[in-house]
Amino acid sequence: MLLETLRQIRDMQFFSLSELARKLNIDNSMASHMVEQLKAMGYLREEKLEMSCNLGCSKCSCCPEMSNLLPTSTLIITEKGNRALERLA
Amino acid sequence: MITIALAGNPNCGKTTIFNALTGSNQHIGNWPGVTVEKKEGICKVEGQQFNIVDLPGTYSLGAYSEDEVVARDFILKEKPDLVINVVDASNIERNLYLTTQLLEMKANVIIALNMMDEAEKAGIQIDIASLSKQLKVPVVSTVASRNKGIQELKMKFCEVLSNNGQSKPEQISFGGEIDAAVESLEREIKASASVNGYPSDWLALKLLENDKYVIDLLGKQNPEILNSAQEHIKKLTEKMGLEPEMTIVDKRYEFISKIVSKSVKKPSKRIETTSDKIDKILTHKWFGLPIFALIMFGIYQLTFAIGQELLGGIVGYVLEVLSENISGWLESINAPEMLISFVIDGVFGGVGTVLEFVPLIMVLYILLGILEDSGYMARAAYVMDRIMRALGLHGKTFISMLVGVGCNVPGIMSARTLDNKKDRMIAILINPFISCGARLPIYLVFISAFFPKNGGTVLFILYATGFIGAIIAGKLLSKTLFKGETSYFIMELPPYRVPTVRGVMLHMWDKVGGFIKRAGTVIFAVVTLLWVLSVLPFGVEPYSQASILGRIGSAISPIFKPAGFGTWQAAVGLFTGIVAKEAVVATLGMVYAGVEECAELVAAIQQHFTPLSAFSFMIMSLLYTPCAAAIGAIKRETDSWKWTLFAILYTFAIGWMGAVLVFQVGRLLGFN
Repeated sequence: MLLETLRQIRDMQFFSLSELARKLNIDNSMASHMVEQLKAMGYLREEKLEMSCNLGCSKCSCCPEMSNLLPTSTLIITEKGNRALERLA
Repeated sequence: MITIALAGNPNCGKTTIFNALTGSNQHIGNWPGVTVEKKEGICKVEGQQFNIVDLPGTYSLGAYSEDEVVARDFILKEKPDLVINVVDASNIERNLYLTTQLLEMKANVIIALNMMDEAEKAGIQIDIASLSKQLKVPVVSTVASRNKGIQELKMKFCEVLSNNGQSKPEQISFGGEIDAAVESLEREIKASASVNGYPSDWLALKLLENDKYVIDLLGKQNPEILNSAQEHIKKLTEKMGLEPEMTIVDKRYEFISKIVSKSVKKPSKRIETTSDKIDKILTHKWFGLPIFALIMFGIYQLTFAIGQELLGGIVGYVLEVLSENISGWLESINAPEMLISFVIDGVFGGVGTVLEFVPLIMVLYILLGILEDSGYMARAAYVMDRIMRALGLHGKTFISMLVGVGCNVPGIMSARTLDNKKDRMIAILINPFISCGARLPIYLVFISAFFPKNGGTVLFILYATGFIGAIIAGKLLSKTLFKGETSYFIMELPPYRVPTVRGVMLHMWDKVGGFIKRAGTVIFAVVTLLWVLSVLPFGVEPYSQASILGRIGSAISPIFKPAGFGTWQAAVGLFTGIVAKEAVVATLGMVYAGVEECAELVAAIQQHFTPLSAFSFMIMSLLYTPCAAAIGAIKRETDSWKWTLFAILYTFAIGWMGAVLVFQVGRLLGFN
């Protein structure tokens, strides 16, 4: 089931929890649990788009320290996840 | 005293049950060695006292967080007489995962099936008797927030405890091979390691699950056990095609699925959220892109209508009054002619011209802030991601392009989030084509001069040209200099929300604050230098072609003749734009005879440009070499002078070609 979750995520054009839940025929909270489980086990990695140039704003007036410029995070299938999917294939 | 532990997921109502059981008999401390809060209280039932311990709320009992280790250590090592597992009935599947782990620990469990009212509201029907039968543990239905079922819960745990009741919960089988490996490892653990109070079969299972805490614990005592565990893991992976940790977790999910299928009835039709409904339209395969284009078109129309036509004159008027007063005051104190020229022509003509565009930039970034804060921009990134992927580019490249609309420096830096070098280099090298806020004043001066009735449309065309140019350049780079596989990523879309005034204003101020700061620092420095160059050598007419500035411009200007703006003033403007894009307008403000306010600059530009050459100049400004800060960011991010130089030259070449193309094709088509 967990591998199927990973496969569904791989095949999704974009990640939507409710879409994943629908495909796996489980509720959203369970889908969220599975995604968290995959992250905890190292099959998935989440990246928040945050930016800070670490140079200090005084050096770069056009770029005040900004974070969460877009409310977007990304889920990435890790090498471990890809290996598991390859074994499935 | 009998000890009862309360275990459950976060937000399952565990604390409400704890409060209902213990009333005011509570005390709060910390779990030893960690900063996790420990709550204990006394529950009195028919004269008997029970010590209730509220364990940290966790979704599982792995070793992924301090809370999880605290909770499982208490159950395994302190061995409470009973564990009340509080389960949120409205999210029963997820909550039962923790239950499965409690069963694995062979804890004496009873389940408080809480939030039954919420479950009923959601149309979820739970057969409590069946659930209890499947799990082989007592189940009590509760609505702790309304104190319902608490008395029954008390009666139930008294009953279980008075029967010396050790419930015999259902045990999950992980399959013959894993069970055999667990038994084998268990024997080794028993024979060679002190288990510190942990059940040895549980330790064996955790070794197969790669539990870091257990690996550390047993590894310190007998590293051989770890080697043995690794051997088992390798063999099991080869046999089953899956790492045992995944199989074990899967078995838990299968167990839950079996229980739920027999005991829980859910509404057959999935409820579609408002977010889902909106997404169906906004991220539609065919309509998504036109909707995005339409929204952006609307934004530029509004920006122009509000920012330029309604608010545009405010700063100009203030600067005009200020300039007149300061000029009058300087004359009244007989200030030197040069000083008056510097203040009025240099400072007001240069910096002042740039500042006049602050209201418009504020409006644009307020509108973009509303889009970002509402969650739409993430959808736009998704819509574009599909197109980017079709073109062989990484979806995150578009995110860095969106960020570049504010300023190319963070846009270039955001390429860091791309995993492979090929994608990263492309994202960095195409970002300068995205029109940043600093280029807005250039467009606005020329739009005011030649396209006042179609300002929003021209603005939209320029921004769209920047995006399209960047995508084409990215495609060319990926086909030539940076061939290779594009890495894979999945975007998580946040739910839609009503934008907050604070969020939008902060977003706007991030950009506008930077713009004003640059006007007072970089632009002021550029203007000062330009003023000096424009009055030297002594004796020449200031701002004339004979000045050093005029000579520099004259030397460069022939390059731009095919693009229709081969004047020394335009050349100097573009040249200073490499220091900072705002400097283009500041320079034009100065070189066109010390223009004091935007209206006069507009009039001066109308005399030196035609609509066609104005458009070609805007295209050049949009695409040519990025500013010094962006060049610095490219150097930092690529860590290569070669690629930095490449970025400087190839953007200039593309900008020049774009401008020449517009001018020459325009002329051929009969435009003026």
